[in-house]
Amino acid sequence: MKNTKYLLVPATFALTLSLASCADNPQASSGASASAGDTHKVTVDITDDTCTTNPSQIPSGKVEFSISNKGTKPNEFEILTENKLQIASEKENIGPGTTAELTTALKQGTYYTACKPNMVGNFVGLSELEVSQGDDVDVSEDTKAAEDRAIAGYTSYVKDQTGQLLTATQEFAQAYTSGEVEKAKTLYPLARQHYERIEPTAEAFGIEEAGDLDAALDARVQDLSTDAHKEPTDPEVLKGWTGWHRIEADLFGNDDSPFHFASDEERQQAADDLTENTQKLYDLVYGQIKGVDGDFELKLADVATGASSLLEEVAKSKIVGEEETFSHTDMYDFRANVEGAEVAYGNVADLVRKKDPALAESIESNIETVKALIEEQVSGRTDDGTETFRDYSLVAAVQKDAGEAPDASAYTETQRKFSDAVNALSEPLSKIAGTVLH
Amino acid sequence: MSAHEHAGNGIKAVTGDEAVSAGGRDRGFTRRRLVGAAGVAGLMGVSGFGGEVLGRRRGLDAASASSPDELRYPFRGEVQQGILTPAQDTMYTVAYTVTTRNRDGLRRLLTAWTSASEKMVAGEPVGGAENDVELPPSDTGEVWGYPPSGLTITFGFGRSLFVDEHGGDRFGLKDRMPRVLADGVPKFANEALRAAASDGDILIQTCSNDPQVCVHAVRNLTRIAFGSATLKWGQIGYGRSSSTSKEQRTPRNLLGFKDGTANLKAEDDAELLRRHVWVQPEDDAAASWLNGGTYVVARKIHMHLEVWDRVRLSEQQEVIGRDKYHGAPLSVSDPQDSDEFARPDFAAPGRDGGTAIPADSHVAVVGADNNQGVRMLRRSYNYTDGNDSLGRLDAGMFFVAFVRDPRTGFYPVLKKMTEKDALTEYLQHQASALFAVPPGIREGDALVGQRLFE
Repeated sequence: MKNTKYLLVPATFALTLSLASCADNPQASSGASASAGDTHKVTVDITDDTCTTNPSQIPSGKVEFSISNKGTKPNEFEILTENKLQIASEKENIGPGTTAELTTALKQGTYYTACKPNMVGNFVGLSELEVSQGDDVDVSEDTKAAEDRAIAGYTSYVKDQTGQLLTATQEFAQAYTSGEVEKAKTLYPLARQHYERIEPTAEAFGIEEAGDLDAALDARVQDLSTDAHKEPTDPEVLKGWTGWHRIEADLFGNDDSPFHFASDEERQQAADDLTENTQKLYDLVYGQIKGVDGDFELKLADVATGASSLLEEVAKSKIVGEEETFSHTDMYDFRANVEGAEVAYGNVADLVRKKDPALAESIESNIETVKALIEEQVSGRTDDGTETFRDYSLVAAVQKDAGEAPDASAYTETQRKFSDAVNALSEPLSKIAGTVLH
Repeated sequence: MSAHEHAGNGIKAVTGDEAVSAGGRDRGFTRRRLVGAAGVAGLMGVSGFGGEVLGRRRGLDAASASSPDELRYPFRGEVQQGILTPAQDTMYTVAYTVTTRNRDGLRRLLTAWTSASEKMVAGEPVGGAENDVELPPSDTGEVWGYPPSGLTITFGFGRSLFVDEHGGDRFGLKDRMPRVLADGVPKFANEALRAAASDGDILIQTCSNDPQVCVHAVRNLTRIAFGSATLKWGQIGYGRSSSTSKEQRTPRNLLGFKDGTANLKAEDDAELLRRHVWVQPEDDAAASWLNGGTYVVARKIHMHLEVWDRVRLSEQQEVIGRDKYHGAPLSVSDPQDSDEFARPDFAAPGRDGGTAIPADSHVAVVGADNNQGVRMLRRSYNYTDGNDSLGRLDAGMFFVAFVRDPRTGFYPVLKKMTEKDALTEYLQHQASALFAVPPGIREGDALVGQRLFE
């Protein structure tokens, strides 16, 4: 029981905080190593038809360009790689008579600098910038350590959520098979939150083939029926459908719902399948069994794209109310996706802050906006203090009982606000990978 | 449905030639002729305004190529592009709701939009030619390698950018709000306006000769705005012929008429434009940032086409006041193509003792001669938004006019039209928009409407 409480919401925030604070520690060391290697300074003078850099030879490492536009047009300063096609770094829209700073890290190699008056047309003042081998060794070692911490931190989170998922699933299955309908209905969205928090990662896992665990645990009848070119209520479709949503259809259906199981034996079978497959997921994540790709292992790309993928889930199936078409508990999934995204970001936040502080700030403030909107949908608390959400179909136009999706013009003001806030958050999140990966 | 599909499905407005051959009559070609005399044009007429000549004279819209795809218009100038620019084939106009709360955020949005727009009208990708495989591309890519196709991007500021619904000052711009915006658009008879498709904080009109180029522009501007502004409504319009030559035929609206002879003429000089289109220093002292700019008024006018198509030809012509094939005013007996630009004679007698041009005809009601010489620069497009659930075309005209002061230059004509025009029976105004269009983006400006913030 203690464990049950721990897996509820406040614990997640505690976990997020602890990850954030553990990511904060290395900041001191990264500051120390940065001072070991100096920041090289380059002065850039721009007029409407010239673009000069001084010096034109620097050692590798952190470089700060002090750009001064003495021309009459807004200008753009670009650092191009040796092929003169790929932009290594740039500063757009430097107003006439203004100055700007551009800080970046450059490895050894040949680069080109150039300007673009009014941000269009051919390069002006294309000139070579030679970067010799310098002191960027410290920087990369420091980065490598931060990357390793990011992977380790996110791996622990995935393990932790999987562990909580297993316990919560077993508790839910117990209530469901013993006929405690109301309790089962309450536990359903709470248990699922642990899955939703790590959804993109969990989706990729497979025992026999990639994604087979997700298909067994989280398949939606809408997808199964369209794949089979049959109606969702077709007996063949229902026969091949297992996992959370199969049980959701039975548990939350009206009296005359065609989705009810015919017998308690079928219910028992569905609950057994669910716990069995969740156990497999747990065993895989904890290294007790091998998956199709061998041992469970996360890469930096999984962490860097994790947050973005979770928001993609929100945009595609939560806001439109397709995920929980029988129970309308989409708000729980929505919040869990965002919490998972916050943790995924939290693990690379240090790297992002270092390379692009403005991006970090944008992500962090937009996460807060989305969370505040989610908070508005809280309807109350359970006896043990867990927050509950409103039935999503009361505030949103949703797909009901796997039927037709709502008309494009039917979405509510609440959904519009969610959509706007999620778009605002998703854009900067989509840039994490480009900032962190190399 | 994209405008591409419209064209592909042959929904595009029938040209004069096709109409002639469909009617089995041999009347030769109708060429657009530019005449200096003050002409009369209906509100409904697709703009036949010869902006190309004016543009050339003002050095604003000199295109860099002769093929419609290769056309490229300068982004910076005394006035914004997309006003005097010869009307392109396709329009995609959108309005945004600004969600950023502070003035810096608004400036940043306008600056980012300005940079991206300047790149797009030059046919270059948004964000430059970056190639980082770990990042989503800054430019969405659907026009990579395409010519700019005469793309113009034009910005307008709505009342709600200056004040919120309670009259509160949103961005410290309230005391610079033009009087015209503060007054707002009055209500008119027979309108059924939808608030969700009307007005907005910022308007962006994109026009080009390739629908995909317009969609690309709107899509990328919308993407840049995520977190700062959200799309409120959008309208795709079509119905221009592809030629930008003076020899271009007058296009037809969906009623099948080509009464868009012109309110303002190509030969009209800067003085006439000053009087009717561009805001002058004496107009509004508090809004001096708008000097040299203009106002855009837009009306989404649904046409009951199925009903109209069952009306006898003689009655259709009497409703419009013009001959359907040639476009000549009904005061011309036995009209020819060359009579399209004839000046309507509202006193000319008709067959039944009345006037040849009925007093309640569209031409008689809205013509400049009968409206104290009121003129506007129209830049309208036909639209078809699929069909309604009764199987009727959801189609009509997206009327767009640029005027110096809509209180004198537009509302009186619209009032008269909605009350007296026989055509009103076949129309329903479904949306309305009024925006102040700042003057051109000057050399050295970082953002459109920079003077509003100075």
